[in-house]
Amino acid sequence: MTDPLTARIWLFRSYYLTLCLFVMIWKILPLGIDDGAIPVPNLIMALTFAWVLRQPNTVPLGAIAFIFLTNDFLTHAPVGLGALIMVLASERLRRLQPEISNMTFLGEFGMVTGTIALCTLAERVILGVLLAEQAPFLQVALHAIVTIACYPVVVVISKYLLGLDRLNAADPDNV
Amino acid sequence: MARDRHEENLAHPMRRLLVILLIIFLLGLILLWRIDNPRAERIRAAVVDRIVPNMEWAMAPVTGLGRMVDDFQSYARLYEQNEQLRRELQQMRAWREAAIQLEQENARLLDLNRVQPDPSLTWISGIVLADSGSPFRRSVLLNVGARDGVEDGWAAMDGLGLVGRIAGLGERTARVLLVTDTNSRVPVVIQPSGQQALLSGDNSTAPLIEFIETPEDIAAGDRIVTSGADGLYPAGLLVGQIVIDPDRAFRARLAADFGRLSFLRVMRNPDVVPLNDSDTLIGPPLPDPVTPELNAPDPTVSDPTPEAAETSADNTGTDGT
Repeated sequence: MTDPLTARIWLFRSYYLTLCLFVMIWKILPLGIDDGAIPVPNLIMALTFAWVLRQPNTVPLGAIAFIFLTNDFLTHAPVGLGALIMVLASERLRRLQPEISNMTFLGEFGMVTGTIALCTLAERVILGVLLAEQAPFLQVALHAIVTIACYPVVVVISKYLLGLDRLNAADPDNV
Repeated sequence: MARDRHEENLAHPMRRLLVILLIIFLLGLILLWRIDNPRAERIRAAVVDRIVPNMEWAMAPVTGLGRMVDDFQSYARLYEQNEQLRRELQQMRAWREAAIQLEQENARLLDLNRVQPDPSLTWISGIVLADSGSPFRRSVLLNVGARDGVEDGWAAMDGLGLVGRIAGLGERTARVLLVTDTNSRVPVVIQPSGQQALLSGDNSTAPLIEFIETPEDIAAGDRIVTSGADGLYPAGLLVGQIVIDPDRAFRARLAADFGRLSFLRVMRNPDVVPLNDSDTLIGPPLPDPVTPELNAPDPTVSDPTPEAAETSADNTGTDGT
């Protein structure tokens, strides 16, 4: 009944959920408290952007909302803030995806850099408007930079290890 | 073709509506978190309570692996550690002698005074299930919760020193806000000068010591213990030692081993009032504002009778408890 295309999409959806849950579990494991000196990349953010720009169908909106809401709950972050920002950002990238898929990787990387920077800024602005407590700017900025730096690595792993190719105009049905 | 389909799909009114609803829902959650924080934290505790204990099967092997990597790293520094341990052992021997003598002396003194140790300081032990997962928030999750009689606000220690307090309680899990978190403030006393100060976390491993009256009386190496002034932490729990950072600010080197928190003691404290409403404070019950007025000496009466003075004294006594 299921055609190979649908099966493939669902396979990648399950990959996405599994990978995100794995990263989240790894992060909350009690393996000693890092003192924030070494910035850790926000891997699920990079993964989500990479996949939205390659295969938008494999990263449905519901999955993004679910993953990032759970992440907010588990990491003691402001409830819903991370999810809101990621939903908005991924929707924006989803809309731009046809144009970006015609760009070179450098162009795509530039778009993602801008998006991550905007997300970081948006989070600070919203927290500032709500007069909530914020982490020091330098630390947050360092984390954003490290996330941006690990984006190409995430792309390479998705492409060569998982076989997630870009949706390109040349062969439209290769989803 | 695919792109047309793609765009068509995105512009679908149902999908657009769904996105807008989702955004409104998330905005609502953020506002709830900001406005009614205790309720949001209870929701968070409930969610964590559902998820984390169920993930234990998945977490156990990964935790084991991570600990092995940690252990291997310490294996590599074996020689260095061995030397250090030898030195420490030498010092400990001297301390042990002193401790034994002090213990004997203490026993004699206690016997003279007929003092009973405080029976309220019993504890519940819990295992650390997870940490906060974020470098900006310092908290760990324990596998004990309301089911085990843990209550919000109780202090948590490892074997040696103060670790934090319970902030967020689920049925099976409890979140411990560490003293290194930026939201943590602990009233402390610095020994031997006996000065009151505030231990305030700033996301570093060594929290700041603030509001010291006479900094001249304090030297590096002084002991820091909780003062119990807020009624939240029991008095006399060891926190750590004073260190002075390059900016001449006082910081605390914590006695608890924050690098490997695995078992924690949650100290039972019956005096803590649970935080149920957003407008109440954690702490000992405040004296009733009406009572002092009732018992205030009447200005028309020139000399209060001994009975009146006695009742007012009694009342202030009960208010204070």
